[in-house]
Amino acid sequence: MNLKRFISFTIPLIVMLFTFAIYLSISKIVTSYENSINDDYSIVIVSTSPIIKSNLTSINGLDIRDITHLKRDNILTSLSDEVSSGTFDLLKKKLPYFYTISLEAFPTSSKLDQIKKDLEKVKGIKRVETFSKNHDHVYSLLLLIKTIVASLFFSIIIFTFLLMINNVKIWFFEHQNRLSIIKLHGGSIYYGAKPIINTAILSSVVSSIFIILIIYGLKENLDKFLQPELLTIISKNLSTFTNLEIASVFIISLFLSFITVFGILLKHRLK
Amino acid sequence: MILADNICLGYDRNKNIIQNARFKINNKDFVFITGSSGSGKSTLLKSFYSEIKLQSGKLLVNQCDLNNIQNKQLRELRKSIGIVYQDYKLIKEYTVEENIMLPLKINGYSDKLSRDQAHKLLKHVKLPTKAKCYPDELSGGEQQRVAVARALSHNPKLILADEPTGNLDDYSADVIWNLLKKANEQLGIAVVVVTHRIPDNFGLSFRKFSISAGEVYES
Repeated sequence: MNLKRFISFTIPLIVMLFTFAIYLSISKIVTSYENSINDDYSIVIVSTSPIIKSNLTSINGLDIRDITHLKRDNILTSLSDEVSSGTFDLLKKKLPYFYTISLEAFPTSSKLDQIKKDLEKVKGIKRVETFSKNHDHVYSLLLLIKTIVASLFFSIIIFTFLLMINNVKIWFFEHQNRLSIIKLHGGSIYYGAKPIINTAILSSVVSSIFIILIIYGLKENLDKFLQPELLTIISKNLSTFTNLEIASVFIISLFLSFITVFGILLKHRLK
Repeated sequence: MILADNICLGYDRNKNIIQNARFKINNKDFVFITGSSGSGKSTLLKSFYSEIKLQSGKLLVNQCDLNNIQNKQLRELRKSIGIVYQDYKLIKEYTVEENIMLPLKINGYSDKLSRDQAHKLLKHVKLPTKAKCYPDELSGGEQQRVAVARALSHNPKLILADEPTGNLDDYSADVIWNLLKKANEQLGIAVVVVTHRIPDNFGLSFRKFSISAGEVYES
């Protein structure tokens, strides 16, 4: 096997897989952040009439996990000594119902705005307070990073693909004579291209192993690279890399190598 | 083995190099194709393994109709033929041994069997010590002997040789002619050789096809 060819095949794959690993990590961090916001925040509703979960099911995109009635008695008890009994009775009648709604999934800012508008249209609901202002900046920043990494990942896939196509084309050019002799002896193009197919498989395996080792290496040494504030959330997410995700690193690498090699093989076969 | 019926060959549709050739080459025949330079000898030979397509007519090689041959059939046909080229066509990245093993490997033989056969043939072509050499390390005569060994390695039914001894030293030429004669006489392989000059005292009955002005005739 030609070492130069092997390296020129493996390096783009490693760069591509590394970006993929970063993309996976960022996705996990965003999902984890969404879950934590979801646990910490809820929508507060002020209504003149009692509300039950089934009243709100018609609202599009509102997937309620839990609806909690905030007890009015505590407010009223604290006022009982300060107001007259007549005013207290009136207050008891006029005081609205307070509810907090927890959602199953974390909505986007625009979706949250829509939910707010839809809730305000429900009969009896006087006021709706969402948590958009509290989380918007951090969440938007995370989404922005996720989008940038995704764009970077797809750009690198294209770049890697083009580099590998060039590598395979050069290989075919260099081995034109050998391939034509094999063809004259009845060998198929696949037989002739065995070395480049083997290089593609080996490069995929080596680059995948390399990236998996880097992920684990980084996970073990994160404290050397990151601030303690970031460490908790990052390491938690890196430690939850599933077997499927690790397999997907290898599958993407192998898929890209095979598409490149067999694409050009097919082109040569059709000639 | 080969049946040509009114075949026309050429690189340009309007100008045929071979015109309406009709002939039959049988199993175990030893055939020389002669003619002047540019007469179309090599073109005719190339048509037998479909490196050049027919302009018209019908050509059967090993019962394969080359007019309607599919890729897979063509590969099978080529696997059953041994070809010796004027320019040797050895793979320079392969050793001598690997070059001889190539047809066997393509035919699916094991490494060990292919290697044993290669070593046996290297003795026949008087190059037993050159197994690990690369073609660039050999002389022209030695390279052509390796090419003949490669053509014989998989016991083909037919050997096609294009000027196998052109520009070679007498010793190499003798080794090659002796091998081709042996292959025909002892193994019953049909041999078709394109050559400018048939060797004197060939010592084996043969047929001679001549090409002149695009016509092929047996003399």
